[in-house]
Amino acid sequence: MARNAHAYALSANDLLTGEQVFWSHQGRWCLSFEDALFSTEPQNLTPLGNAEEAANRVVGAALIPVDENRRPVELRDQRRLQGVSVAVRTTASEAASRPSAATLAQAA
Amino acid sequence: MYAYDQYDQAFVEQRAAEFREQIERRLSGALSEDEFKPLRLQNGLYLQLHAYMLRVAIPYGALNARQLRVLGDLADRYDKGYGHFTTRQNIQYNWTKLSDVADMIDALASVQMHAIQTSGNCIRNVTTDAYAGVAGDEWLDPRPSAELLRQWSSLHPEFAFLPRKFKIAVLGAAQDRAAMKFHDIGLWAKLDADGQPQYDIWVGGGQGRTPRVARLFQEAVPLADLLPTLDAMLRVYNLAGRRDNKYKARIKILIDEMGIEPYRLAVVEELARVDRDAFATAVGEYQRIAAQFETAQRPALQGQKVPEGSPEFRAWLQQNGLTHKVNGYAAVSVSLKTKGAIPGDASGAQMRAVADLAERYSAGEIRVSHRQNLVLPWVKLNDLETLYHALLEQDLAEANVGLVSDIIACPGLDYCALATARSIPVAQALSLRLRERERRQGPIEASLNISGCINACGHHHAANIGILGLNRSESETYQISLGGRADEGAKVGDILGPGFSQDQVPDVVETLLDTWQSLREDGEDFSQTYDRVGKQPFKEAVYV
Repeated sequence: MARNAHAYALSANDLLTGEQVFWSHQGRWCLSFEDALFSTEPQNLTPLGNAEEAANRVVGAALIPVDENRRPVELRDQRRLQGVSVAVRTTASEAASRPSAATLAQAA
Repeated sequence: MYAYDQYDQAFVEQRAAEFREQIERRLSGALSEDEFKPLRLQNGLYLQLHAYMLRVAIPYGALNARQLRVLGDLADRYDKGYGHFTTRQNIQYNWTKLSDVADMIDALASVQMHAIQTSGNCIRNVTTDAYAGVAGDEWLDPRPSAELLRQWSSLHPEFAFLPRKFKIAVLGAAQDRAAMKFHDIGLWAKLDADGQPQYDIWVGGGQGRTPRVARLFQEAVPLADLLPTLDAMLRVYNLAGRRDNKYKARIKILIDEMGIEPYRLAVVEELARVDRDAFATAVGEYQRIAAQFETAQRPALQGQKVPEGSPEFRAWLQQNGLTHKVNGYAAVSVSLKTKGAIPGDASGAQMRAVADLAERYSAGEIRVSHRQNLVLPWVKLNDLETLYHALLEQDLAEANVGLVSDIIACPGLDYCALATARSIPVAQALSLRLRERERRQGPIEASLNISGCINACGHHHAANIGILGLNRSESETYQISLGGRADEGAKVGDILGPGFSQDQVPDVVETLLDTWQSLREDGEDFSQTYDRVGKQPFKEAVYV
């Protein structure tokens, strides 16, 4: 049990994309932490994460301890949920100049 | 540059095909994550906080224009439009999808590149001076030695599962621009009386939680003995290095525990058992490799002159240029540290632009420096001003290489699963503040490095001002160290005292610079002042 943990959410990385996902009320993985299922009984979530990993849908299933306001207790989870601290540097002009798959194949 | 022969090309193509099959088996469920993880790590594929990260090797930091163009295209097609050049002269893609990785690796193989041994407990990408082959103070081009080591260490069957990762740097100049003494093994290549390569071998350097400056193992090792000696050194480490605790598994700890002399004796004993016949072709292979690099060297040019240009151009050249060993040329750094930028990041468009400029103005060659900048090594003096204006259009003409705003930073807790604090926003805030200070004061020659955890990928131990991000009671705290340096006088910095919040860091750094500038005597750099006055005046200034 993490210190100051009021409840837990189940998190993982999507197998295909690596994106962070959360186990939802709907009984499937979702991308939004707001839709995550919170449980005061982590012993119920851990086997679920193990089963989802065994089913090759996700990687790195782990519990996120949260406080009574459903705010992650641990710094790592807080930062991970915030996402990267800077805007991804893809400007409109750069996006317009992106190569097509055919161009890339030709270059290669 | 070195061009792959049919063996090199077949090797990377076979490995790409093998990894494609492994990924397919993972996606089909035939391989579990536990089974797949060591396979993906051997191919440079990590799982980070938000996505898979592919780390691509840039052997000894050397690229041709075609390769850089493909790296830029990969950034746009498979990442979010950028790549991150690292302190080990590699490039990382932070947003890759597992299903795209095999196509990325095929594209890399088509331009003689790969991601092999950029992770795992093996010999990693061999690094060197970004100005190799062109620096005015160079005795011997270190790239043929580095390429020989690449061939020796690639899938070396004995050294695929070492106690921990193993990093080698090669240097061939008077000045250390490769942080050589912070590597597990550092080779300082020189010429013997007959003009043949020989090597001073340094061992047991490294950063991380137990920073060490490498110790001299042996001087003047002839080329013919280099690979047998390295084989014996690695064998002793492989057998005697600790495997019970990964934090004590690097060779620096073995040498701490054994002592350098007992280690040396163990290597001498092991060397007697090394099969020398296995290395019979090494000298010939070195000569074959060296001939390729010699062919690529340019003859001296007459009638070349640096254009008068604008004051901004002259300031850029003064700061980012390096004296070339061949008359008529200059080597120039392309700073990836523009005001407020993320250190080491370049967009796909910028990479393609630099590739185009390299073809036009630098014999098609580009280098990646361990300070996370790019280098154009073969620019004719007459072309310098035109190149400057072309770089300016791409936001790549920041005149700050070697200055305090030329910040090294790791990806930190924005991306890295091992990090304990963010380093990118700290670097950006400092960049804004320090570029402004440099605008007011002129060039400030000092080094400032930031790591987001004790693993020290941001080389904080080796900086005049080092910043280490830590997690203290679920808050980010930044610990300052002073007096470190990564050059031939390598030294680990001293921890100043208790850490600071992210918001406090820019003011603290400015106070440290104020203190240095008020205390320094004529011509002193930061290290010289620090070595003379010690930590106390800085401590008193900061902890008032």
